Amino acid sequence: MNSEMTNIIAELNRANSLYDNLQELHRELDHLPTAKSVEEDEIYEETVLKLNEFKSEKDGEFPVKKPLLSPAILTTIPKVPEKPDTKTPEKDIMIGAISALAMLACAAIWLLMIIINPESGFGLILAYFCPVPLLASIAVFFAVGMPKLKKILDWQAKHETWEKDYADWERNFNNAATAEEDERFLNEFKKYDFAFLELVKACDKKYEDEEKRCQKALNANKKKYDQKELEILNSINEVEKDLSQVTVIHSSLFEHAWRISSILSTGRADTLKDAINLALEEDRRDKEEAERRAEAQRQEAILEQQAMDNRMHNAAMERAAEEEARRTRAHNAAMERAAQQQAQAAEAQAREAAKQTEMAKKQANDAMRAASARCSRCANYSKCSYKVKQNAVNCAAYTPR
Amino acid sequence: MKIIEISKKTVELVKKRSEIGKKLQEKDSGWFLSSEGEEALRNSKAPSQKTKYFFDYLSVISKNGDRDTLYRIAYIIANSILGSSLEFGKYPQILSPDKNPFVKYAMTVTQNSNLVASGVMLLSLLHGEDASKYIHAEERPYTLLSYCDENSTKSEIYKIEREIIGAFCNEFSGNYIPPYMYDIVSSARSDS
Repeated sequence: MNSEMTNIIAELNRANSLYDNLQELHRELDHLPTAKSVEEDEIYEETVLKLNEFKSEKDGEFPVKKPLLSPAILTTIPKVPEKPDTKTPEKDIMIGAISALAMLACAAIWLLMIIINPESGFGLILAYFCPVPLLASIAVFFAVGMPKLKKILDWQAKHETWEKDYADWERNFNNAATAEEDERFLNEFKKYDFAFLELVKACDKKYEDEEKRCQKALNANKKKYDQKELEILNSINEVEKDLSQVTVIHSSLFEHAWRISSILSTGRADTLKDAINLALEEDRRDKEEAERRAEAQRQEAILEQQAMDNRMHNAAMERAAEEEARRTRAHNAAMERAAQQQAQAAEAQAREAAKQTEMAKKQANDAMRAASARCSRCANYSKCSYKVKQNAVNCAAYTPR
Repeated sequence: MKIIEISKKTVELVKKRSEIGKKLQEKDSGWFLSSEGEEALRNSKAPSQKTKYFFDYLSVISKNGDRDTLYRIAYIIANSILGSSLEFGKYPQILSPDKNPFVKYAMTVTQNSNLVASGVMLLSLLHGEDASKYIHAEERPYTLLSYCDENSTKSEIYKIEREIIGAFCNEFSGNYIPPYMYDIVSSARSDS
């Protein structure tokens, strides 16, 4: 390797080092706003935390309880019973009362008729004619008078209970809702207002102080990052200046400087031009290889995803099949149980029918025995035919001996 | 025994029929504005009677409103608004939905009404403000209320506001009763 080539390699190495340095500085510069923003957020968060801690402390020390309004507010007026569906209650009451009266009057006359001998002339008239108005008055009372009366009577009973509840509520309310109670409530509220406004004042003061501190910290942070930015920009300028003095390769090839230098050092090229071409070719190949690898990885991921989908699908199908089998088993078991129940019911029915037949036979035998016994006790036993003796239980000619 | 008992009750009913007729008479909103309604209010001396009067009226105009909410509104109308120097403090304005915001709100009360939300609505209607201002801490809703100094007398509005808060918002489980909502960060931030 001649000295000229050695100088070129040294120059390429210097260019590579400067280029790396420049890249590093640019990365640092790009990262600056994010770092600044993170630190600003930390300052804000710290401020909010301090403020909330202060507020919590003040809340804990709050000297006044929530003022409570008179207990009268807690008990609602008892609910009035629902009114009966009538537009003319007075008329309904009168209809009910008159129909009841008419019914009672008719009943009294009816009783009179029973007391008076129906065979006498007046009694006979009553015996024939009184049941008609009595039945009519009963019908009118039950059809018209009583429903109306009942509705109002029911409501009246409920209303009486409500009146008692209302009287209790009224007494409690008037005991609780007094002018003194109102005054107590408002005075408590006055204290609450005062304590609350004091708390707000203290919190606002704290906020102002913390805001100033926060602003100060933010300004300091800004200053720090502005300074950093300036330093980086200066460094970039210096490095760019140094890089501009590199003439051995074109500035667009600085990023390949390390590869060109490596090719020349290892003797894979004799001239700088060949080394540049080889470096560009290698770079192109590397890029293609990287793209291939990325594509292969993408395909692999797709296949893996498909396999996973298939596995999940199969698992779901298996679960569905198991569920279907379980349902079928349950259905068959239910059918079997129903058939058993039906068989048991039929058996019980047959047993019951046999029992009934047995009982009927027994009853017939008993009747026969009773008829025979009755006949044998009859004075006309010898005169009766066999057919008559069969129905001896209801025999009208039975004469005990 | 039962027949005798029923007969006695029937006789009693006949005797009291006009009284029962009056009790069963359906009162519509017109009745409360009639001379009879006015007289009924004038004759209501005890706080319980006044509350009952307004509760009955609100129940008529609200139809299916939540009883608890209507009762609390009636309590405030009877206790603090009736007889006050407010525009709607006297009869018959006190019953007018156009004049009295409490009556206007009662007409919209449903079975699902929430007490705290009702309280906030009543405060906003009382001051003619947007209800959302009474909810959000950043709006500093407590600044919308009236206050009194250590030695000064309490104003009518002060009394009504506090009764609304006491009746509706006290069941709020937070640290402070709405509209006493204050958040050290959001309240101050909106200020600056």
